[in-house]
Amino acid sequence: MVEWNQILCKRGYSIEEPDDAVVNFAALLRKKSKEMRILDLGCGGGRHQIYMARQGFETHGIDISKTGLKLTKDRLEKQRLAGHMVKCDMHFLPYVDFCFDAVVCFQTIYHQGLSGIQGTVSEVHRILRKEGLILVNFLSNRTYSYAIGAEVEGGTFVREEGAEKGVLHHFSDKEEIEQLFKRFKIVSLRLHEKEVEGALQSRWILIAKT
Amino acid sequence: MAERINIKKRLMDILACPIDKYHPLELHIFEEKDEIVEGIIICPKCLRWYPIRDEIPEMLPDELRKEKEDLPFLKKWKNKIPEKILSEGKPFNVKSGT
Repeated sequence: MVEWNQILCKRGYSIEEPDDAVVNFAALLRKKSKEMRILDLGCGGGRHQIYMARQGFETHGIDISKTGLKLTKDRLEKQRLAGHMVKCDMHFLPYVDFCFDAVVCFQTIYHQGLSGIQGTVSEVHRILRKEGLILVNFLSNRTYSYAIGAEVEGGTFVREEGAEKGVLHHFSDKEEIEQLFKRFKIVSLRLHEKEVEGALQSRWILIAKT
Repeated sequence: MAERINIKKRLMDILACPIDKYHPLELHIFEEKDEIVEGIIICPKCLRWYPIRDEIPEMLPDELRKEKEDLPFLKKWKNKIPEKILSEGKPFNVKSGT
């Protein structure tokens, strides 16, 4: 198993600002209600959970990395914000059915093969309330890092060197994402692209509803 | 304090066994400061137990559990853990552990 604690320590937690997509998603949720229970699936160092907590939502953060969870917890406490943390695996969510109003899953779900992604999507569907929302992003096969490493199955590559050695990256196209979320209603699915130091960063951003 | 108790209760209100999704789970507190520092969460249906360490519940599937870390935890708190978990708990118990 990939040692995310070590990877995250090496990489650091310097990205403090929430992604614009998450900020916009929070605004969408706030219009519906402030009384919402949100799950940050793969919370890492907590930038999105902290932002959601600041908006007044009840937040829950899960991750496989204890390092990330502890850092998120410390950051929440320093800012006098509340939040629940649980260490778990994204295929075995430790929650009852229909208990979350929304799930944020950013830069997480694609670190596994397609069957793993299907398992995570199924678990998210189980824990979301009726008309619950998910915000999730996927790597597009137009992105600069496409096909780096060895292909272990269709569209899934494992990094063979560098800070993410041993880490899986799955790249998706629109049809695959639509198929993955066929039990959901797709609210929006768009390709977000930007140049970072001369390289094209290309990701799908999906909002879907149960 | 009332708020903290409320926070714990709210988490237990929605926690289920990650394997069989059973709810409600049993919470046993071993060490408590502002939050539960160490404790155990038990699924009474399948007898899986999940440690709370450093104030964070660890609810991993069997294949991601580490016997070298979990058995000492079980032994450390054996006087506060139900006998059924010590003898039949999954994925590790004191009887089967070395």
